[in-house]
Amino acid sequence: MHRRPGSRPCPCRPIWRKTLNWSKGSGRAFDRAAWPYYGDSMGHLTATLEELADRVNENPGLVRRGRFVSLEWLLQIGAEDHYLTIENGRLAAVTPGPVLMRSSRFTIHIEEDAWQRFCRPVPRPGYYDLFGMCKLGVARIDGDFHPLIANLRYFREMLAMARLETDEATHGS
Amino acid sequence: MVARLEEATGRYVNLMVQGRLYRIYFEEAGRGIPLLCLHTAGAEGSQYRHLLNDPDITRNYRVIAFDMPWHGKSLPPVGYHLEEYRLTTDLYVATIMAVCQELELEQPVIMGCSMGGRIVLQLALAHAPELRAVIGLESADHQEPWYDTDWLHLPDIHGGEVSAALVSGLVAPQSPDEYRWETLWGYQQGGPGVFKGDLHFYRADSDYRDRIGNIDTTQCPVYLLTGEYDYSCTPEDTLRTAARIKGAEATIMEGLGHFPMSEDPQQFRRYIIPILDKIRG
Repeated sequence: MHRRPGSRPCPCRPIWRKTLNWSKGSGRAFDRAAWPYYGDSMGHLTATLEELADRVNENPGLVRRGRFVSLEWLLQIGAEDHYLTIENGRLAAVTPGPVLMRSSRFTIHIEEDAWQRFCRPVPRPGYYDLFGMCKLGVARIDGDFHPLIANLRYFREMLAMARLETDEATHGS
Repeated sequence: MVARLEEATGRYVNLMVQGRLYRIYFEEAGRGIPLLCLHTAGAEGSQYRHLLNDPDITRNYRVIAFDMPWHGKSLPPVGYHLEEYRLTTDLYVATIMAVCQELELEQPVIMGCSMGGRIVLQLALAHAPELRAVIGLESADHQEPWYDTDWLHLPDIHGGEVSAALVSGLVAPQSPDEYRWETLWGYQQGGPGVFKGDLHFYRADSDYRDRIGNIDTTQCPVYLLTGEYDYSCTPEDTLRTAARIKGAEATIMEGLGHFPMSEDPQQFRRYIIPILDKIRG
């Protein structure tokens, strides 16, 4: 649910939260076996997105910008699914998928090669922005656009935080 | 810090367009050939402030940038609260030509960006004898839409925030942060529904593909410049357009996006000054 001022916190999936809530630095390991519907696509993109969560949560300006956002969305990079749980602007959990019958407010699908290009320190034309990649046909957005558009700067800047600082390494799978 | 008065001055002109009175704000600097600058959709003339303060340009050109009605410091017409703003080709051309007439601009060069880059093609077609040349920045005879403009004017989404966020990806990654955010500020402070109203012209009333082949560049030279990072008006859109206009010159600008004059003025002047020198002859 897209939170608005004065609304109640999102009561999303208490069972899931209890089982899989992930918090980097808490010392608590992610217990994959605890979730029976967990898929087989755990890749090293998960580590990238965990790092992304750190970057988001350590950026008070971005968290403030997203303070009215509490929802879960699905990021599909190539064949890999990750559910990203936002709580009041914090990227509270990154959950690898697929997870059977799990819903999300919207899905951003980016082809793997396009994601790699997007993550370069200085992307080439066409790969610098989500909507540019959508126009190129290498990315797609599905689902409820409202929370995404209403908080577009927040989500754009979140995605941009996956960008590499140098050209030495590559992100994703 | 020492206060510095810029050369540019701002004034208002009251003029009639299609039977309605408009109070229009404009800034100008320099002397010589009139260079009338048209801002992008949903923005304002201050996008050209760097040209207005560039002595290499103002030495030979009288640079003028005005805010379209509904934009910046130009007011909407009386009764605006009762209507939906929707710019059309006819209204846009009439407004520009009224400004030229009231400011007594003789044989001006008209330079526009994005929707301004689109309308200069129509001006070259319909008003060639009155113009010295046109420069289209991020200009094409048509382009494919990449989002639904209905999102720009809703009661529960901040129009300025969403407009700026949508266009922010059109600024090249190399552009300095200072100018990136100044460019976006123009969008963040737009009036309700104004960006969307401009895009009515851009999306629904300016497909010029069937007519630009009739532009006579011997009468009105056409120069098109597009940033390589512009995925709204792509370099391919501009090159295709230039190929349809006999004698048109097209340049793809490296390291620039959809707002070359405001997002990276130093990089832009590398491209625009040679064009202005050429027009001056």
